[in-house]
Amino acid sequence: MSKRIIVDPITRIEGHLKIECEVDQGKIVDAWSTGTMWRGIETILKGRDPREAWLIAQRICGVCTTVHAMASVRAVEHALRLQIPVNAQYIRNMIVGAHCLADNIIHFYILSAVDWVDIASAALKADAKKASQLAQKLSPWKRNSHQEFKQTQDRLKTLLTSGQQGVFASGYWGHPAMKLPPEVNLIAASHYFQALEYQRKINKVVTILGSKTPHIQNLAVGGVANPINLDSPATLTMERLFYIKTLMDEVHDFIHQAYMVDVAAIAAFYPEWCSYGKGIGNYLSVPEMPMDEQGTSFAMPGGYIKEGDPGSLRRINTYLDPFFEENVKECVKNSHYAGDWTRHPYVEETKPKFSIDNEDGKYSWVKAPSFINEPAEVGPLASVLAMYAARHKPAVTYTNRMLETIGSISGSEQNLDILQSTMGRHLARSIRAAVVHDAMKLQWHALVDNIDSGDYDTFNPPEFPSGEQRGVGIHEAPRGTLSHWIVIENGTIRNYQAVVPSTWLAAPRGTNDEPGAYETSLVGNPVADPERPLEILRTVHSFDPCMACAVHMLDPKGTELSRVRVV
Amino acid sequence: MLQHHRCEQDSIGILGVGNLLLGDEGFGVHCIRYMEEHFSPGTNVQIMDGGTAGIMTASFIERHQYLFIIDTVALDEEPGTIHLFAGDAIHGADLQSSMSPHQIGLIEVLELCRMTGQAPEHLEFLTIVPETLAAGIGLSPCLQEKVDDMIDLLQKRLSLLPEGAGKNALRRKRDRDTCACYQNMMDS
Repeated sequence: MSKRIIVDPITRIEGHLKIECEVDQGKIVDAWSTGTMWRGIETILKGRDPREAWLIAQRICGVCTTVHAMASVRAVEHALRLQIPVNAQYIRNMIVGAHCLADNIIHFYILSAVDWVDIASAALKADAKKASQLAQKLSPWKRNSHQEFKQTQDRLKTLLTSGQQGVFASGYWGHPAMKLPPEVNLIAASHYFQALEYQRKINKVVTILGSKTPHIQNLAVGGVANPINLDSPATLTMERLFYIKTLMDEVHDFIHQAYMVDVAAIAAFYPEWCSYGKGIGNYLSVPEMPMDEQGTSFAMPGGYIKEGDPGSLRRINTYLDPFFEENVKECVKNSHYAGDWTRHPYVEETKPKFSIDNEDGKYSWVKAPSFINEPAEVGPLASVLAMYAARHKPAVTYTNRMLETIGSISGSEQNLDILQSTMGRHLARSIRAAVVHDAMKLQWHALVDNIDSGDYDTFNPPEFPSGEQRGVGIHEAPRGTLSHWIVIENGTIRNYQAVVPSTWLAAPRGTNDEPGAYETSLVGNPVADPERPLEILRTVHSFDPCMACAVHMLDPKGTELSRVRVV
Repeated sequence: MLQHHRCEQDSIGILGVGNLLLGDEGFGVHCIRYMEEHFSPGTNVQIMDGGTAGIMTASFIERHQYLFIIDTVALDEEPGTIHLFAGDAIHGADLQSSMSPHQIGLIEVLELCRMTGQAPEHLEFLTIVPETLAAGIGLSPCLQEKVDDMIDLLQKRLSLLPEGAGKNALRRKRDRDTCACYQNMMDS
């Protein structure tokens, strides 16, 4: 007899996501994703000055702050066909890169590692000496010493015996689906603590360039507000730029020698998860880190791949290519909004309509986006497949290196197909982190060279003609393709829509009732213990869900951290 | 070895958190903005707008010996009611399970800091019951009136700290007329 498992809420950050799965004979046969994506941004921005939209948009979410700011200024600049000084592009790109790396590191270690790593096993069963020998065999990482592992183990033991397990309280220890040897658990747990340090280092780059975190202050429609003056300490000086370089170098080693190696090792011990969790098969990404004024040349390529075949890549080469702009639509057939329409974001409306008994069949607040009338997966996997297909050198190098590492640990050869899976999303995210780091270094050198040539320009003032202008700002954010859509009329905002990565991924069924990305990828996954559905978490977490509603009040009366019901 | 960021002796952090786009939910951030306009923090005091307080606030939290967090609270009481949660009342796992659903919220960040031995020595939550969480920028009139009360409470709590830290931690600027009107900041 089939059972229905409801996991609510599943995301470890920001907002609400409910997953319902029908399980028959230990396997998921159908799934529904329900989200409470908050759609108030349109209402708040209507009638405002397009130049201040980014300041407000970056408050949508407490995690993805800079990405909404970026997409927002780009939307206005696209609408005005405004060119941006290259210094401003490089500075923005470094913020994009630093934010992405911090986010990737946090996502893997803090948000998803506990789906694969058994903390209790690391604390109680691992031999710290053996762990350090194994780690040193796998990687030259300087912080794989016996002493380091011993210290982590002591810390975990104290935590587990104190009764205050803090962030590990919701862990699925001893679950039958946990398969890492105790020593690998300990290596990953040790890097968990180190990850906190390295994300902080790379975040400091965002703070230096953006003036503040979590909410950056330095953007402007038309460029950035960072004055460059090599003699004035209040501006962006060589000293600051070299400090940024130092921080970047430290994080480079953590990504290459800890993060990538850990993901490869975990993948090698969970080979079945390199085939579970394949999604829709259509992959959408956009180019990132524009290297010229118009956005016609990028450090990282992007495009659209159909039916899982990287050979089908249709590249998106410039901000002026209408391919993206023309082919995105959103559908509300199964979402709690008035009507049953599939529309382009420029002409959408947001009229909530909710029936408590779901008599209209609508079951989510998330709309269902489509690309060329089909659902698509966005995220690091989509980005890596596109870059690989475009023969982007760093992407090809790091992907092949990753496959070789897994192959040498597991003893069986691996090919590109394993990327299209639950584990593959983690692999792709770590590969992309290495690519982003390289691209960031490129920005740093380009900026220093350009300043050296005497160009200090960072801002082109925008002018708003009368009449209507439409624009889309695209950004390949850590969680995937983000687009902000703006309609400007006589200098003020008439319509504004944000189509965010989690909308693409957490989407309910669309125009022809085809399931969304989570819904598709869950089908076929095993569930060993319906009361502790770790496997569902694994696949959903592999997408790095972030539902941007961000009500975060202190609640001293007590709400459950995560609710699992079996009915 | 883990590298510890030692906090400075007597350093005080004041962190306002909340979502500015959801009415009264943004109360903590509004208080910070008001303080930045109308108050002078002492040299040992840092004020920060933490927004919705994700992991990015960790480095701020770790830097201070004394930490005061201004936030909204989900209690079924009169809007505008102020509650102070101090010391043990907000300790450890109890609160982790009692916080809102997003899993790296403020409490999880604090837990992470505790785990690495970098949590503030002294921690207080100054909280207020909101009236509305509807989409929109700006506080309800009821909570707008309470900004001063909240800062009065904060000043009282600061005055109870050891003298080296609490003395002159937060003083109202004398020339109030030269301050830009706080209300205009968000509404313009």
